[in-house]
Amino acid sequence: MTKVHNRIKEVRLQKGITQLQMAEDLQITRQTITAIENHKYNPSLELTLKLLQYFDLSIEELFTLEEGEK
Amino acid sequence: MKKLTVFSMLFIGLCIAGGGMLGLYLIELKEPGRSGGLFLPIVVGNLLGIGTTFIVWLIQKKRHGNVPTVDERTLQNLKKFYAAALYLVLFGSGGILIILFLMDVQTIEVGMLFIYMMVLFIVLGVGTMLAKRV
Repeated sequence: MTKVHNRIKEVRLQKGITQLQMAEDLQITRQTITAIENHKYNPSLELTLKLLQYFDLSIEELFTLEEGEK
Repeated sequence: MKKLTVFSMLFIGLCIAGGGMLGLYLIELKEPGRSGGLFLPIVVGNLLGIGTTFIVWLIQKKRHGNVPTVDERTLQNLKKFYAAALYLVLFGSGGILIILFLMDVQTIEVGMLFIYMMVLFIVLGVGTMLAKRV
């Protein structure tokens, strides 16, 4: 089973952005940010593209596909 | 306030008022003169409900700024909740009917159906609020 891993929390903290600020900028709820950062929710393609644009990163730098146990 | 929010609140208010007036009409139809005094609670209750929602909305906006309360994940959660609720209501209603049949119940009073519907609406309403907050 594969799992999508993201570095959103790491990048956000590096850039010194709060969850509230990010929620306001991307027009999403704070709960959604928490869920994405904790790998409980995979964002839609639209939100993924917004996140890439927001952090000015490529998809490989923000998201990785991890192979889990079969 | 966003146009859609205002429209939604007005629409819900009109639906509640419309339902109340329909109720008054039905009471008058069945038992003339028994609906007296119910008009005011319908109107005042409706206005208080809309007023409270508006105040809560204002407080939330002041506290959270321009952060939305609904997004793609919320909508997905709501879809999942309604899908589950549909099965629960269908199988639940069927189960209740089977139990009533086994209890040898021959007829169901329409008033009881109204109460059942009211309970369903309350449970679904509370469930929607919870699903939205998760």
